[in-house]
Amino acid sequence: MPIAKLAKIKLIALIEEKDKILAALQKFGVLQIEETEIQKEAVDIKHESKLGELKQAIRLLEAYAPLKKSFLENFVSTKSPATEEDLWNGFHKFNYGEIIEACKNHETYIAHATAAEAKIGADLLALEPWKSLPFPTKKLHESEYFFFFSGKIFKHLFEKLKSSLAAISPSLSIEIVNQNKNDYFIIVAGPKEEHAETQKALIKEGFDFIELPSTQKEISKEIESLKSQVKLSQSEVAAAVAEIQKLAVHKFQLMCAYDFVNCHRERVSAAHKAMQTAYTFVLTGFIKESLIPKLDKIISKTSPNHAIYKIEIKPDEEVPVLIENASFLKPFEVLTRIYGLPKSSEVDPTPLLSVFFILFFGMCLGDAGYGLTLILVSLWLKRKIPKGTNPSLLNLLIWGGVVTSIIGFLQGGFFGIELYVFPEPIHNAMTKIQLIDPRRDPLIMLIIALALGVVQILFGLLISMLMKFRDKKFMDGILDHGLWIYYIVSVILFGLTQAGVVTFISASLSSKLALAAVIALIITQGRKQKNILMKIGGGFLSLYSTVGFVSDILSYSRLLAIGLGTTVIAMVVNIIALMTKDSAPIIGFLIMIVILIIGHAFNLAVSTLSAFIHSARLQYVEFFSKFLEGGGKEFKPFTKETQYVKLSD
Amino acid sequence: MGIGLALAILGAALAIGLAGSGSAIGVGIAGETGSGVITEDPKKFGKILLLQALPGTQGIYGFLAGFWVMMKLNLLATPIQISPQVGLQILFACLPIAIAGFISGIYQGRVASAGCGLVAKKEEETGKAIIFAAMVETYAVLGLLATILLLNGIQVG
Repeated sequence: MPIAKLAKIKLIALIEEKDKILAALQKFGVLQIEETEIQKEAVDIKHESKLGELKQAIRLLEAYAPLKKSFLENFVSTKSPATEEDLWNGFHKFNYGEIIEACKNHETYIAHATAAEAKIGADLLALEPWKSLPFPTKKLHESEYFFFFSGKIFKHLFEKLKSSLAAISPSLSIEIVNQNKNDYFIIVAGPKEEHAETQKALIKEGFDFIELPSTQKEISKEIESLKSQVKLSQSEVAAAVAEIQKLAVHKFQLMCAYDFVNCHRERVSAAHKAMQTAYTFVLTGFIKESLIPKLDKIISKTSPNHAIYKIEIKPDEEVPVLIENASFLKPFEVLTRIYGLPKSSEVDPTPLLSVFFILFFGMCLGDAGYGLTLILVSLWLKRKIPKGTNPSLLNLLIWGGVVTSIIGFLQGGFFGIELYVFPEPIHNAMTKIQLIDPRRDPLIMLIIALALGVVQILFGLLISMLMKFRDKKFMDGILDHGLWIYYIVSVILFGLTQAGVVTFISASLSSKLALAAVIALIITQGRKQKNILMKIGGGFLSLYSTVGFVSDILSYSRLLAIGLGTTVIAMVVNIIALMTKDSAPIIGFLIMIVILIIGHAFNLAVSTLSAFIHSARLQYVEFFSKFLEGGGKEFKPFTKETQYVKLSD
Repeated sequence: MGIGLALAILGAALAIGLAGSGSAIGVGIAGETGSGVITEDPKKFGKILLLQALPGTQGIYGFLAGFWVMMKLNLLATPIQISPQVGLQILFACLPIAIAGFISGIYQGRVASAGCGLVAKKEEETGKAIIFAAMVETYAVLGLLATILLLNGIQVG
């Protein structure tokens, strides 16, 4: 339960052995090196730019030659396994520079070609309306004695335009070159001296000026030549893409090279964190206390002349947090990590929440059929997921499946099938195991859910009290937490005796016990206030926390609601499937099977998700709030960090 | 069919229809943001899908409540005839999940949508985004619970 004990150490060794020692440290991966205040990390331009280039090339290969992914791989991030040697080879034996260069060239080429195509596309669009002009438009533009205007006009305005132009001068010519649904594309031409007046008239009549592109050839020929240019450029782009796809065989090597450089950069940046004198350097960092002798041994191998000694951790210093649990509890660390790690002065909540979480999960799913399916599916997925993916979540689901099956049998739930449907012996056995039917007695389930809530909240307060005891704050422990435990228990006892459920103590005694708790709270909870009135006021005010406890406990009612949800949806699936059975011979039966499979798979997926989320939420919001603050910084030892490949031995 | 039965069916219809609409809006909002995230980084599909699915539960809760009514009144075979008073009781009992489902579905969608933004920037914090969205769902769960307990208390036939 306590968080792994970390020690702060100083490592002093000779400068000429610095590189070797850092390499050994990185390989061993147990020391988190502290940044010293004197040596702030410098930006490592050389490595950064190399990493940037490699990354760009890898990204390009991923974009143009994506690997086919299975549906499953969408949900887990996959890294190809690689050995140390692969990494070394990737950097030293493989000419990654050539590939990067090739990728860069292809990429630039494609970018240019696409931009050029876009420009041609725009030109084509501009030429399109004028394609029936039987001469190169350059002639029009260069005319010495005539002007012209090109543009479009609404069809219903055309006649009016025509007459107003005719009124200016009979020598003006109007030519309809093209038309679409609403407009005529026209060219108006005339002798230069009419230019100004014609323009005025055109503006007045609603003429929309469009510039006529100037072409050397006839427009239709121009269009053809542009189109063939596009085709050529497209085929060249396709060729470039094909070249990139050919390069994709080197992707793994590029990734190895990237990770090699990355590890190297990490080492360089670790070296920057060391303080040094003329002959020695000093590294400061955190390490798991029990690993110090081992570290000493490993460093001794490369450098016998060194010293490691522990230094004192200052009281206000932020110590990184490393949580360690027995292997069967490891899967539950997922939950702790989602919330965030505890502070180094707190406890690791993983073992504390494990039993509750898995029990709640089982109650929310609450169907033996689903529990067994969940186990099988998780086991299958565990074999399917790529090696090296963290299986914690799947292990957690297997645990959840086991508990769900047990609770499912206790509730008589098996794929939502009514028990009497089963043949006699199975039916009898299942009814014997069944303790409760939540659908018929939801109230009893509700009481169980709330009772579990009370237990978990009291447990949270108890942990909080023990934490105070550990820090030798006995008074605060008892008054801030112990008293509340007593208060909650006595008030519930009072309620139960009033209701006549509990009879081993009398109602009057229980009321006195509860009253004593209230008075004790009023007296003690304001004790940290200075002024006497505030002390009493604070005491009264503290009773308001009762509201918080009540709402916390009521929150556990979700266990019933979500559990019922799963069961009822399962029943719905069965009922709908049965309705189709007799709709048609054979086909009806097949439809029924399909509905059963899809329906139950859907329900299992959705219900598992909500069982997981809601059980987790009860831990975070209702349970953790009683004893945990969180916000610890994770212990991150200096090690080989890889981005693309997974290092294996 | 008597007016009582009609009222009860109205209850079931409201539960399924309103809570389902809430979910549809919520899933829609989350999906819009999610698609944006995927354009930047298709690898996040699994996580975004999870977030998008979260506001979908209200619809299921509503359906569940509606189905509870159908079972109670044997609507899938020969309906049990009930008085208008009982019909009204059932209608009112359906309201908690209908109302809470509708509104919480929309708001859960908005939180899930913000969560997509969180996943876009800090993928490792997906769990927290999911928990934030689940906080909203509490009230739909309570609505469903109230509806079930109320329905359970009503005597028919």
